[in-house]
Amino acid sequence: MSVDTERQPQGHGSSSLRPLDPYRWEIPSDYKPGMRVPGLVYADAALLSQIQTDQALEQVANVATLPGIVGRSIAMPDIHWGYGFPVGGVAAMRLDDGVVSPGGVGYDINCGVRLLAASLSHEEIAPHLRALADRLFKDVPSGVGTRGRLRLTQSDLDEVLAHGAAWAVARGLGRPEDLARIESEGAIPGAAPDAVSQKARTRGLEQLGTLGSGNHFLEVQRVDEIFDPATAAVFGLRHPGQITVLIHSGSRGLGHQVCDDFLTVCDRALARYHIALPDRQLACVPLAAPEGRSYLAAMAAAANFAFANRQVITHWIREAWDAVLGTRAAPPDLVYDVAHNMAKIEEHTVGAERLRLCVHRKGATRGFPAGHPDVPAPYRGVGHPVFLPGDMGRYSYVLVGTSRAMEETFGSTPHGAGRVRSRGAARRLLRGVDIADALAARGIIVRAASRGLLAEEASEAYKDVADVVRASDGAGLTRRVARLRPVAVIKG
Amino acid sequence: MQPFETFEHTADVGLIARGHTLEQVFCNAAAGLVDLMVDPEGLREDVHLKVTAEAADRAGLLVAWLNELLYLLDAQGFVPRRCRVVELRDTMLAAEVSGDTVDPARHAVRRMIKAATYHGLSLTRTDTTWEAKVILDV
Repeated sequence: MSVDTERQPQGHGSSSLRPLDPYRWEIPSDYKPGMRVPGLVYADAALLSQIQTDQALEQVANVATLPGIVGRSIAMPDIHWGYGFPVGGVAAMRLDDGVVSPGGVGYDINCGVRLLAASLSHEEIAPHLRALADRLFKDVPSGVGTRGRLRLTQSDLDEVLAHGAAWAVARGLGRPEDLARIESEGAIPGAAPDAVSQKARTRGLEQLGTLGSGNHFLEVQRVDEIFDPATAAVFGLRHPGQITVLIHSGSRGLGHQVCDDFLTVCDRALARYHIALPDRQLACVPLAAPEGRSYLAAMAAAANFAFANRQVITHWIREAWDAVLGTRAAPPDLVYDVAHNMAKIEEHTVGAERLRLCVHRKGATRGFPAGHPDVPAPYRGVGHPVFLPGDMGRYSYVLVGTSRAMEETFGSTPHGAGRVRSRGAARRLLRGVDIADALAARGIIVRAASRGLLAEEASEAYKDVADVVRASDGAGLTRRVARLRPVAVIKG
Repeated sequence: MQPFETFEHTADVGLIARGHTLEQVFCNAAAGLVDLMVDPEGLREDVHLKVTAEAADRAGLLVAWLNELLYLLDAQGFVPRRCRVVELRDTMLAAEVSGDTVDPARHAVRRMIKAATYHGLSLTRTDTTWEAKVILDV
């Protein structure tokens, strides 16, 4: 049974929800004092009743009070309660009078997802899967207290923070053609290594090329079903049974420290900038202020660390592939890499105007459609891929964003399946069940740093991501392309 | 009086720490944090550090203290086994801690904690006990 950490009336926000259509629910801007724009929740009725059980909707309304917010305070179908901003929240602010909020990005800056596609089938890999899983578990460090395999100097770290994935490729840890298949080509412009504290740098020095823990993972998958063969083919997903690899990881301790550092800066600056907030965790500073510029520069540096991290992990996956599969199969190609915790400076059409905005996406993914100039050339005919990881027992989805999402959500889409049970509840529910054994019986190999705690990350702990996809597609924000199922899972 | 326990939170984990003194609360919070990350059995006490933390107020100090321990885990692989607060004011804390370097070969590792957060943070006092509540981002 969950304990409310703040005494709030039940169902607040929910009685004021105005259905606009089966997938859109408005929180009117007079719902609570200080709201500058309405809230807009994308969900179907079933998801909405889940959403109403925590305080996520109140948080959507709180975000609507932030200075400079444009359009609406947006909630994706996978929304749930977070720090200040809900997870699955999107908010875009004007640059001149708007604010930036580290809580609107999250502690794990550029937590994101990367998909690789191999040229062999499940049948072909099956005899080697155990060996591959063992090798991946060994070669990609994960879990508490593990150190990365790279030894960086401070000067190396400066380069990583400035150049992101390109640093890795230049070091031979990737292919030059990988860079075009990463959001922002694997490096956010304006990154300032100097804006990253010494503490954050120290944390990052030995963590490049590590997976992390909790809901981070590395998963070997098979394509289960292709819904849109033409788009899937453009992405390199050619047939059911094709093997893919999904990586879910972020900026590790470096990013967490940057967030914590700037939450303190923002908290102290609130009075100076005369910002009144309904929730202290929305701590923010004006984008135009030195602190705002500094946060964006540090955030970009941390984001680049995460892009480099996923690039290094990719390289080690390819080396493991080579070691285990040899000449049987070429190492996998990069399909795409997307962030789901980020604030980005983007141009969007709002009403009749073209505006440069700071778009906060926390637990939400950029999904730019066909024709958008920021979509890499090979994908510009269809839009870039969006990945929605589910859980280790079920499936993940590949989607593509639409022009409707561009119009309504600043080109934003959901990011995955949210949790439906606390860790404690999941452990109690699954007491006596060996999750790794249960998954092995279903043909899914698991290698975990903490086998006894797998219950916390089991399917029973998560919503069904298919429900999120159904609502997102139903709202017209995305179009499903393919479904992927796990065959081997590596977890910290 | 239970020195620490966890409480339910969908996405993350809540920690309650108690003590008869404020110093005890801070040390029990550290013990609770460690317990979430690694089985304390088998943690030696051969690394000794002095740890300080600063914040705008006492409740914030709890967050800063736990985040400082998370920093030490990343920076040095250090987890405390024993803790003694030597100085505690409203906005700063100094503690002597002894503990171990995490080694997955020797220790039963559990979960990584990303950060202690300010959400739902409280530090309250009843007649005989202090109680702190903090939500940790997993």
